[in-house]
Amino acid sequence: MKSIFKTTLLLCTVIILKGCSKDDNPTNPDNNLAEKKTAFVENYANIVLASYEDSVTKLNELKTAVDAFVATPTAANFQVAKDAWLASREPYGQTEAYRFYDGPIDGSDGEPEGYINAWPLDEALIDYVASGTGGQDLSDSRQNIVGNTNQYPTLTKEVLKNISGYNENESNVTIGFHAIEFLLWGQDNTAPSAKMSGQRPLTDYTTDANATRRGQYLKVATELLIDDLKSVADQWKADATYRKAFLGMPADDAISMILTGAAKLSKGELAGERMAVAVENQSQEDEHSCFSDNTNRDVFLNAKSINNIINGTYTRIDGTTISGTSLLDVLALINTNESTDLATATSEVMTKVTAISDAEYFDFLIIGETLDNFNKPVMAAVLSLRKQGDLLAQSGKTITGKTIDPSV
Amino acid sequence: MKHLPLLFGLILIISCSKKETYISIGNYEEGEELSAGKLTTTLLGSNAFDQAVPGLPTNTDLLFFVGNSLFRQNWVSAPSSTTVRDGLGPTFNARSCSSCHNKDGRGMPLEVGQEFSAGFLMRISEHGKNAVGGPKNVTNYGDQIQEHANLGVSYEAKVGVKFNTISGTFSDGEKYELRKPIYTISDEQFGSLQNVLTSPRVGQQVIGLGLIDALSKEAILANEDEMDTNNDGISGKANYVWDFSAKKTVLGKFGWKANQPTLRQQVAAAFSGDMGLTTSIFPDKNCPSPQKDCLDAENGGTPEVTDNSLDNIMIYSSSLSVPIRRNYNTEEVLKGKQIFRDLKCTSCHTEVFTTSNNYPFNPILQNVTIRPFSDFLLHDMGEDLADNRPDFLASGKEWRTQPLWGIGMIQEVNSHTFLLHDGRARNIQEAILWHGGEAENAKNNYKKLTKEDRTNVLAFINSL
Repeated sequence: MKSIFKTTLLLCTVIILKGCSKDDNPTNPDNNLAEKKTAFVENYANIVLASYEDSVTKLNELKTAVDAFVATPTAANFQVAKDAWLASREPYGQTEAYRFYDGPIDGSDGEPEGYINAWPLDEALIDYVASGTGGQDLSDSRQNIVGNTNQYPTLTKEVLKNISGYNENESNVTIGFHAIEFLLWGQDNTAPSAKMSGQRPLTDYTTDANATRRGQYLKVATELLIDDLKSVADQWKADATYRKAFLGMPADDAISMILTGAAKLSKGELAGERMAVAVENQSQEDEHSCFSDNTNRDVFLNAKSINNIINGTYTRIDGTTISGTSLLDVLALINTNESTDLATATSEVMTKVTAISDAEYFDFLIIGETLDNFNKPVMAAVLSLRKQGDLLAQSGKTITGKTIDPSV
Repeated sequence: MKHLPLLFGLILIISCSKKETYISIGNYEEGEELSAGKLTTTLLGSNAFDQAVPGLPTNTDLLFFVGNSLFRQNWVSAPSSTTVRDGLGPTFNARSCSSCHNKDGRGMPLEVGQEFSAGFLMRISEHGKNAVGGPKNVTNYGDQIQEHANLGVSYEAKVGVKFNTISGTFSDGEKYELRKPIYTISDEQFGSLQNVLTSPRVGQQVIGLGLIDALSKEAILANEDEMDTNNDGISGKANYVWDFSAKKTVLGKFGWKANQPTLRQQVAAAFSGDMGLTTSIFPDKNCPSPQKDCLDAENGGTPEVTDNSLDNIMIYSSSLSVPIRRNYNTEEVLKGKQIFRDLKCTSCHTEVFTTSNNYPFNPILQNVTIRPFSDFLLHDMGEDLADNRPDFLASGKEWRTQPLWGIGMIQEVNSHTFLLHDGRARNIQEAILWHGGEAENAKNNYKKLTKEDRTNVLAFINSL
């Protein structure tokens, strides 16, 4: 005991307190590096704001289409609403790398992510479902909110948010992108080999007994989604408190957060949660956008979200490009080999997810794939995403000295 | 109680004006913030309980996500197109593991006016023991009230609660109030439940369970002192329970009364009891006769949770890490730690263990130094906390010491701070004040502390 005590006396645990910059570490007096780090963080914040703003813009277009469809439920308007939903996923999918570091999207303060993009949906809580797919529970009086006029005479934003109870139980997903998707497409009850998305009949919004209520739900869910996403986008605006704090903290801290989000999305959430689970379960309920069969785009766009950060660019919905200091630029100043490796890895990822995007029906693509065979499209992409996640974590270590766990 | 050597940690503050100041703090111990040792997760925030231990091999890591989805998503009644996740019920308490362990965290207690909550259930039994020494099933009901049922099947009964107030005073004159729950069972569908033994339970956070599973029997029994031979007023008794796979009686480790021997059986028992899902460990439908509708209901395969799925859930639940401590080196917390030790809280809330070298299911969990703050043994906690429902060797007054790791993160993860076996304590201080029996002295000494010292203790516990 005594001898241990003496030895430990010689050890000094050095804790660098937050709030003070390490950039002036005399062993690395590279001003260019410090500038590059700051420029990278600023460019990131610009990309974040632009992609969230684009998402809000597209959601406003969705709202216009949904309102028009509910007011005049024709087959043409139905299609316009569906197309608007698909279009809104394009920018939103590219924002998913901003998660997992307790930022505005999924921080402890309200956690809007669960209200925006949670899945799988608890569709039986929302509306009628095919027999045997709802886990019907007599004692859950919330079942089929659309048809439940006794308990919920009016459907308002407050009512839906309270029913959701997502904060209490994340399996009660009743609002967000995928609730709207379900209300537009309906369940996908055909075999994957049929290559068909959900076939909700137009009569659900015209002659069906619950047509009016269903339309109300659709409208309210869309409004809620805009509110939630706008609350996130606003926090990245130029004068917003969060953005100021983000840009004001030491660059290394911000970079560590940025790379935590990107690495965890790459290796954990996307490769694991959104792809490997579907392969293992061979089940179309386990694909991200299962009603519209848009999962192939989800996969591509989530990967693109990471790729945007690595390359420091984002192409806006109007075709203009935001471009600035990239992760590769910063990394190259410290370790050119790592920078080259990451560039190779991310281009491989994009090749693999482009193949998935082009193949379309993800629920069909997973059939016959297994977790231990990385030669087929989905698992090949999984492998490349996992590698990219590890390299992102490593680049974080190289740039900031902080350890990042890339698994979720 | 072994004392770790004290380390003189130096906190180096590099102020932005490049001034350097040195403050030495006497009792920060190296690595004490790493509750799960080298496997501690550094991610905090609302997903703090949902993190895999670092360094899982690729295939295990991928299956972690598969297990996570099985844990989080709703199971549905059979038949269904969701072949992986059907077979719920016919009677059940919850449709998903995450109903009671939301974000892998702590369930909600029953509140006044509620018939059920996200995470509460009522265990029941008759006097006496069953064939393997466990609680005796209640005729027509089994060992737990299922208040939910699939279409066409009857639920079993409803549970309600009201609270009485218990008032108390700290030595410095500050007053406090505790809420004592009074439970009522009503609307029984298969005969009266008014005279059965009952035990209310909420779901605990499911972090670090693999590390507990990887503890050797010897490591736990080392702290056993059933006859209090060292006269410190603290016994520490092992529960010995039935292992349905090994078909023998072994040490219990999991659950509020240490009534489950292994993580696998704990998980399988929850599938069976809480969700009505059969496994190879518990292959029988959870339908006590005369619940005919329940017996006749369709099942979701034999077993409903395949061994493959059970393995995936096991990979998931055994691989969940424990979040790193916060504020562990502030003066307040370090003072609180010392008082926590001085109060002898550590007699039961044992700080350090090292996992065994024999956990082939998930080898990464072997030989890890962990800080669960529990001895995983049973202690008499007094009359006020008693459920008076024995469970194997656990008496009606005995409870397993709760691991304290992660306790300060429950607020962040679950937006509440309800604690104890049925969530009656509204915060950490109330949980301390509910301690009785072997912990009576520790509690009374806590009540004698100054306000500042009480705050320090709470700050320490919150840092875990």
